[in-house]
Amino acid sequence: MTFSETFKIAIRSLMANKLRSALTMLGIIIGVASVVTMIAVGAGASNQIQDQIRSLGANVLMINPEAARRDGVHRQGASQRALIDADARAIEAQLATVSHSVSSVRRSYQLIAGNRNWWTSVNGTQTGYFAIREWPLEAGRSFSAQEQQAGEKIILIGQTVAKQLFGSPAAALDRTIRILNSNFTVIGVLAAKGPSGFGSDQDDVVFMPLQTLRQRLLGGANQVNRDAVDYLLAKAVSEDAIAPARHEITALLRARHGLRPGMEDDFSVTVPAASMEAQNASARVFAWLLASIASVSLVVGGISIMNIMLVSVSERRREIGLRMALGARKRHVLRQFLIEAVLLCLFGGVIGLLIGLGATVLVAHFAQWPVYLSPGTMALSLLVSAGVGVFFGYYPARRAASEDPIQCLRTE
Amino acid sequence: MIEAKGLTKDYISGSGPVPALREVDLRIGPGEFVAIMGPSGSGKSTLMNLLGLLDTPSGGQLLFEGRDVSKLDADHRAEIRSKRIGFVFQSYNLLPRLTAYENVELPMIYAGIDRISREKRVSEALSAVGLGHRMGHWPAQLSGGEQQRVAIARSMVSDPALVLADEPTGALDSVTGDAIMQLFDRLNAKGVSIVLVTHDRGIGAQAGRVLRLADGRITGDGTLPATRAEPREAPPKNAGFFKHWTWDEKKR
Ligand SMILES: Nc1ncnc2c1ncn2[C@@H]1O[C@H](COP(=O)(O)OP(=O)(O)OP(=O)(O)O)[C@@H](O)[C@H]1O
Ligand SMILES: [Mg+2]
Repeated sequence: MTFSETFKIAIRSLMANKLRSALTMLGIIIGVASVVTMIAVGAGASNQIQDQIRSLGANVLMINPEAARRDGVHRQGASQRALIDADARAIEAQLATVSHSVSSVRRSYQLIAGNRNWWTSVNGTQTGYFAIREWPLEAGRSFSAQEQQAGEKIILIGQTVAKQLFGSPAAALDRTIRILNSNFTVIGVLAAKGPSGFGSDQDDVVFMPLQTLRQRLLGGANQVNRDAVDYLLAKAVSEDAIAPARHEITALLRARHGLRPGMEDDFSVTVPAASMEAQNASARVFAWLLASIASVSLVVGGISIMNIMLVSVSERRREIGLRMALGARKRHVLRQFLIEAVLLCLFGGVIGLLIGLGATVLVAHFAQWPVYLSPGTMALSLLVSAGVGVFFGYYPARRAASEDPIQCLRTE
Repeated sequence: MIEAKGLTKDYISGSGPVPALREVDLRIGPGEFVAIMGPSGSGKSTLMNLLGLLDTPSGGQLLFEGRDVSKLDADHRAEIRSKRIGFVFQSYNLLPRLTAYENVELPMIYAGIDRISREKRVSEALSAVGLGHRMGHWPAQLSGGEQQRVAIARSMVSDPALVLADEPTGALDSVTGDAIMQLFDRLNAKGVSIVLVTHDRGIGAQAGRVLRLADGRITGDGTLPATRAEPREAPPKNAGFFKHWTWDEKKR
């Protein structure tokens, strides 16, 4: 008995009962569609987080000022010292576990170049920032130490800003961007970091020396503390050095801020990659949880396949008897019904996959949720559908194969 | 060719065993044309099922082409059926979702015959029963007589030694039935043993040998005098489909 002949017969008997076949497939369709969507959503979230970890740069520690508050109430005797650029200098100079440390102030401004303008975030920092984030230049150069000191009106721009203001990164070099009332010369264009999933375009950013930002943009009028920065970044020399670096930074900053033992830190040192990794792990667990809930409908679908195949076997006893009389062995009959069940499931799986793909696109579009569906996942979903067919089709097929031809031929 | 010694069949039912055949001794040689007759419930179909290896006897021995087949398992019997035995039933002979061609092809698929030979043999067999031009038709598009002819084409397609027909004309009018009998005759002329069950004395008379069955026992073994006026060789005038016959002796 050739496969193609069995296949042909299976298709025909499924087509003979189109409505019934369609209804039977419904469970599988819903099951596969929901599992696929859940996996796509979960994988998308996980991918986004991983992208963020990667684009962050390796072994990065972030130091944020933290007003020592608890339950929204100022604690007595708590220090109020802000983070300042000198803290970053001290960390870089004194700690062997840290290779670079920079400080950064971030604001949003409208950038104007010729007749174009673009709102983006403007970062005042040091050239070490790019070493920490492992962010190369595509064109031009970074700021020199002298320029940093002097607060020169120079600017480094991200890919998106280059495209928005100048059409292309190549056209941006040596051009002028006006922010507030100052003109800045573009000395470099950063390489593309790429999107970090939906919503956050890492290339939509510009950098200038911290001094420049302070002098030309902040002015100092409405600054509480002229020296305060928004955050510090530090890069540990290796992955193993992250934990010791964290300790040392904490100790150093406590000393610099004059915190006595027993007083709370007025800053926090975090390892963004670590918390992202944890977030990633929980996103994964959640996605798998959703997928396994969704897969319950696959089981329900499988049961309805089994049910319909049992009906089909008893309806077609005459056919089974006739085939057996003509020489069909048990395995021929078994294979025929099994292939029918598998085809039913596989076809349901294909439809479910298409619906799942559609749902995934809708989720991405309307919920602005990052999604990712790998070819492997798609192939797996079809494999699982076929597996459901084999699992739930086996018993009915077995029953057909063990029919007695005489009894079957007697049924009219 | 096929030999039964003390063949017994009891059906097991709720109220105990039902004896359907009791110690039947029988020998059918190659090329014999045997009609089995007897009242309803006498065990005719039961005997046919045993001779066709569709069922196993409760007692006694059955030899098919010299081999004891009484205790063979279902798959081995199926294999012998697909290669050596053809079946024609009273009705529902054809699988409704297979074309005439595919119905005839089926036993050869189970027998493992390759596609090229299958193609050749199917068209020969269908031409032989006068349906060479209806190969692609579905059973529902064929008349009862035409369906039986397809079934006969199928029964002879794998060159069987034995063709068993349980009331093959039971559902047909007498003219169509005669045409079917003609086909069996031609098949028999090629040396195929034919055993058919009939309630029709006229048809019984056309067989070379008639077995009478009553209450699970053979009560008669001989011939019936022909009761029909017309000789079998002359086809009925109004049987239009005879003109399509292309039986070719040299081909097979
Ligand atoms: N599967 C079965 N289970 C129980 N009893 C059976 C079974 N098949 C046949 N019988 C019984 O065996 C006896 C012989 O049946 P069988 O079908 O061989 O008769 P038959 O001569 O073919 O009759 P008919 O002319 O009506 O077809 C009957 O009494 C019948 O009721
Ligand atoms: Mg009968």
